[in-house]
Amino acid sequence: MDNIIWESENLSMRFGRKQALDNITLKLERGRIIGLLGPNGSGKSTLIKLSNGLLTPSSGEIRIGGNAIGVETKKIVSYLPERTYLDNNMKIYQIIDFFQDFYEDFNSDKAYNMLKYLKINPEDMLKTMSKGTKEKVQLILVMSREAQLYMLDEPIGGVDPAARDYILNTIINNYNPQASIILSTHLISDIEQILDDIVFIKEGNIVLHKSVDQIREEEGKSVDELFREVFRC
Amino acid sequence: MLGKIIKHEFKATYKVYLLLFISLFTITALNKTIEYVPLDNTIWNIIKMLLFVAWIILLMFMVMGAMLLAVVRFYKTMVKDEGYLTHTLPVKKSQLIIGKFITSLIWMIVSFIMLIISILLAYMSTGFMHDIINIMNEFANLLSENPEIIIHIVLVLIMLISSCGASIFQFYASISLGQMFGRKLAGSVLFYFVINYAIGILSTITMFIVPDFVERMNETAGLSTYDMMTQEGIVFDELMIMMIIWQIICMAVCYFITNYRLSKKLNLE
Repeated sequence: MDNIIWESENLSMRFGRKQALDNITLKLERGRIIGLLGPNGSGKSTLIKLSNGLLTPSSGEIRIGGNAIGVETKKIVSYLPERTYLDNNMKIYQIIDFFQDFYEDFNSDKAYNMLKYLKINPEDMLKTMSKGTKEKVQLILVMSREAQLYMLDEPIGGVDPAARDYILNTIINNYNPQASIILSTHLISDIEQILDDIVFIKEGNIVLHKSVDQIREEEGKSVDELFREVFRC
Repeated sequence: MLGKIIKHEFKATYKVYLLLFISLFTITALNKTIEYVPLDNTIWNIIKMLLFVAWIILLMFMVMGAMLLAVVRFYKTMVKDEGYLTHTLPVKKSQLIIGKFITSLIWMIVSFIMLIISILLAYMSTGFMHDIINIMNEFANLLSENPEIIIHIVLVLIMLISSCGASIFQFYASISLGQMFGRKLAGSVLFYFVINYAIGILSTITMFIVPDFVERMNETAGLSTYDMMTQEGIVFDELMIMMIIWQIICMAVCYFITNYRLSKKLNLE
């Protein structure tokens, strides 16, 4: 198997007058936890949405597992958007059935176990839950897939510190070690300890792509410190 | 995959339709039972009238509501937040579009059947049943003398269904084209009118292109539908078939527009 799970070539995205992504050429390896780090509006979400076929690039292309974005890539990518995207009128177990039906790699036992641990009742309707609980449910669904690439867009954005710990632990404990995870966030210090590689993205350009080890050796800094340096206002 | 999509579409949409149907039959039943109340004061008559109006409104909902629900469902799941789920499923866009279309069309047909049943129930009485049986006997006689009437009726039904189908796809195409604008909902409405207008103009042009069409239409002027179906049966069938073909062409064009826009030009907010 080829070692590269995600790659882009001359990828650009333009929204009207705004250049959201500017000629991105990047390769990401299998089996790594990769932090896609940058301030708000730097292009992180755009890159992730493009990878999931929710946006069409202005130019260039992305290949996942060697394939262009399409049905084949969607089979192997598990995506957590930074919004509630499920039907609020569905009960949790119905959503699990839905995922089971459409995704061959979905493990419903895992999902039910995680829900049980959090004392979430599968008979409950999504709309009766708090925002934080909904986000946890969405994360559980995404991590219950045995995917080759997980793409989590701001997974710890709007939650309290205890929930953040739970989310990060869930991510580490439940993903397939041959898989890669791409995590986008601007909350560096919280996730630094779980990252293997980092990609700094600034105003639509990749300004850094290194492993966390390399940064600590070469720069002698933590990722958080380096981030503050690179993205100084 | 298409089967799964249709299954989930039905699961996700049945509650609203069920509510609609239950409301319809409740009002129908109410309208029926108040007939037997032997009161005749003003207040009671106003109540009876209001119940009747409510029934008429629900009947209109049967017709328009099913279409509205179909459009709202498509909009919500394809171009709003739920689109994040829909478009990341490992299925082809064509399957999504056709799955939603088939489900919506079936609901429209079911709604129409409910409408008919409600009307029949509302007017049911022993006298009415007698009339119905008489009409059915007469109809059976007519059929044995003019069996081609079956074809006319089948064609009318197909024409109605294909007309619904064309309308649904018109909405789908408008929604998917409307996405190119910043104000997406306004864009969708705009494109709906544009498509409507285009279809209107093209069908008028087609009418003049098809040979003898205008002359044949003039021949039938002044004939009742019954005459058209029994005497000039051939014209009627041809007219129906042409309309069906036209609807199918509209459906196909709108389907390709929708599929193209959602496959190659998707830009979800």
